[in-house]
Amino acid sequence: MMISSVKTKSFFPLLALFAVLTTACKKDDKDPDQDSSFDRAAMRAHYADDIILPAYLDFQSEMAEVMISAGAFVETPNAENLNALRDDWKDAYKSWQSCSMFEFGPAADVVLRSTCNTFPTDTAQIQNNINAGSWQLGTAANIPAAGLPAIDYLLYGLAASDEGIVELYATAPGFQSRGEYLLDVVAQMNTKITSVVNQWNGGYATSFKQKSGTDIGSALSLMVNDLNFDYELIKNAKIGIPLGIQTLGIARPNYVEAYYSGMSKTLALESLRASRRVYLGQNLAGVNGLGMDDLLLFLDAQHTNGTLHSAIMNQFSASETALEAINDPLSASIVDSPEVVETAYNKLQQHVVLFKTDMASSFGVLITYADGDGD
Amino acid sequence: MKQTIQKYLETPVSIAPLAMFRVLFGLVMFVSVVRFILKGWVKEFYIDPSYYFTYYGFEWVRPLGEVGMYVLYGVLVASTFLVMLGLFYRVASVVFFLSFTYAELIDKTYYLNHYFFISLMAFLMIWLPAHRSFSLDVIRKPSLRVGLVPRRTVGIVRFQLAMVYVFAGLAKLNYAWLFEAMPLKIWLAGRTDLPVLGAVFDWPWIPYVFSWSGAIYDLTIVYFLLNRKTRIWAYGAVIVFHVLTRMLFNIGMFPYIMILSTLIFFSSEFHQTIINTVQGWFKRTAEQVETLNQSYRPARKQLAYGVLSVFFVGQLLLAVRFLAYPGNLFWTEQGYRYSWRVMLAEKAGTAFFSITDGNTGGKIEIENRHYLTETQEKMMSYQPDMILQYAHYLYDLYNGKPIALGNDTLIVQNPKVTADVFVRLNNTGSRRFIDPTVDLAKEREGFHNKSWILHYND
Repeated sequence: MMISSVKTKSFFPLLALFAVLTTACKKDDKDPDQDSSFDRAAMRAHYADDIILPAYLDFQSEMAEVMISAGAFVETPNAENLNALRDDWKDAYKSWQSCSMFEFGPAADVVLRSTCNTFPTDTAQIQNNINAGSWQLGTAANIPAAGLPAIDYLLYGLAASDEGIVELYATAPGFQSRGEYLLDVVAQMNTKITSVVNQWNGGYATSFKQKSGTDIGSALSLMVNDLNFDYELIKNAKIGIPLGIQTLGIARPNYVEAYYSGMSKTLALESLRASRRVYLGQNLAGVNGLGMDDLLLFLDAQHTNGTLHSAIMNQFSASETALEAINDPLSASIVDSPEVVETAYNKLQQHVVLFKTDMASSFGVLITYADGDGD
Repeated sequence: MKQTIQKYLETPVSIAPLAMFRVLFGLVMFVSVVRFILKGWVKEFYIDPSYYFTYYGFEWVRPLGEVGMYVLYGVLVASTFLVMLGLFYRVASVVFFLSFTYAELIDKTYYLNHYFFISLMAFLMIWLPAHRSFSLDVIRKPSLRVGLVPRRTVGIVRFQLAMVYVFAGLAKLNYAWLFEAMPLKIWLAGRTDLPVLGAVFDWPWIPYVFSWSGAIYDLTIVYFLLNRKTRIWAYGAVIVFHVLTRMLFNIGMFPYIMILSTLIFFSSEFHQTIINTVQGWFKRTAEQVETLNQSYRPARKQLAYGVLSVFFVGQLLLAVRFLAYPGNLFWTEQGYRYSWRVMLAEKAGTAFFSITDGNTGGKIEIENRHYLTETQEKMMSYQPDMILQYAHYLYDLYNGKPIALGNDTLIVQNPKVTADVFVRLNNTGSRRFIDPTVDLAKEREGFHNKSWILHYND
């Protein structure tokens, strides 16, 4: 008697599962997310249509403007055209910060992030290319001699004064080669971002929206992994490495992003705010939709004192405040008031834990792109 | 008493279940190994990394280089194939056990309970006369053929399977699993994309159903498989359970291994029918009655008894050694491996390592991705023994290392290696995992309690 009652108890749920399972295998044409309490398909669509593609389109149009003003400057090098070009370049650089965290799919195929933003830029390599009069962008040696950081050097770092810089594109020896190099660097980025936009419009957006689940290669896994990777770049590349965090505390101020124009702090803040928008599912205009924050709240993800969502938002604010406290330019502050920069570094580091460990784990997403079995 | 037990264990029974088990085990291992190679994992796991997390006491097990690793996996393919066919079985089973275990011992990053299970099973197979029927060996050498084997040879395989299930079931009897449905609540919520079934994974009570069913399944399945009346239903449950886990989780070949292995619980008649059918395809007539009654008499029975007693007592001790350590087992993981704790915790970590120059106090923060693969970093970040190993590796890398800084070169001397590690266990916020002030370069590996692991509740 006892045995049979144990049997019934233990087998009932299993048989119930079996029944569900057999039906599950039959009807797989139904929209998988439709009936669940959190519409994950809508979230993926929102990220693809309202956040990622608009970010690429914005960068594409900013770069198109850079192309026009760069053409005008090379054609007629004067202070006015230089400043117009600089302004367009600054807008493009800021716009880039909203694209940087989507290095998967088409962007990964064309190595968009390394092409657009490898710093510190290799000034010797740039000068060699210009002097040689011919170059091949895209080779390993030329990756750090191209992109937005190369333009930073080409528009701000070539001479001490603006007159001197204009002179280098107007009449100084090699002016033609220099102008062509500038245009080529811009064109390379334009080609790549256009290719990415075309691929997103040409089918990748559709397949991205279908990448359900949390496995490696799912849309959520791609976004969480890259948001985290990019956030680690803010911490390490933008702040930590220039601060000397990997070099026994010996500062390397010229390693900051956009060293020659001195807009490093602006870009770091822009990057942090872009990450926050992605996390919240906000578009460029700040309109909020279904985002990672909503999913975390739905999943009831906890942190030490309260929800994980509030911990993440507090940390965003703390990091933002700490970055704002740094005096411009960042490269000078690293030398003059390193403790202020270090505070910002520490806040960013704490935030990496929240993304890399707490958020990824709450979603059941692995922080890796590598396949393998688990148990 | 002892005699009764011995008599029971030595009673001749049909070899059919054992022979069938050999074929299926060889087959599923063959598929596993080929799959492993085709996925590119030999290169990714054993050739590409610059560092390998060795097992304590097995530091001498090193990767064999590109050619060597592919040769090793070639040997695995060949030996699993031979085990399946039952050709040169004695040699093939020894070679399979040694080569498989060697590969698993190279790097604990890839430790899986089911790899441990395969190693154990492969070891057992060495001692079993599984090739003395339904094999190419008996065609090659007809004198090997027997129809009967001592009951213990079949029983030991069942016993091994029982150990896995029962320990896995006992491990599930903890508060988080039963009363918080952790970590299934987290994992099922990530699987809502499954057709139809997925739609219910956001329902709050579903994870509890899965947790409890899983625990009851593990604890009772062997009993129901042994019982002739319930066997067929139990086997249905085996299929459902393992197919479900295959659909829900990324657990590779394990479900298939278990679905095929548990067939050993079926009767001799069941297996003999299948064997006769298969032999019919190859136009081999059913075995002669005389050979069927031919019984297997092992040459060194006492040795086998001795070895296998040590084998099972060892397994038992490994599984319960966690009792000797203080603190939360899921947090410290002291005694976690080899204890059949399968999919019991959602755990992740972030580890920041620093090298501090012993003379100047200058600090270098390490970017782990420069030294470890993504998978290695992920596994290291929440497992204390791996954190310690990595710290020792960093010490060796940086001690006396010249660091180029523009035109200057600095040499790191007497480095102190510290780590600030944050770990999240299930749905509790990440917290500091180890003492960030401890110089890990000075801490030893071993079985002693690691005092530098912080307590979970601090």
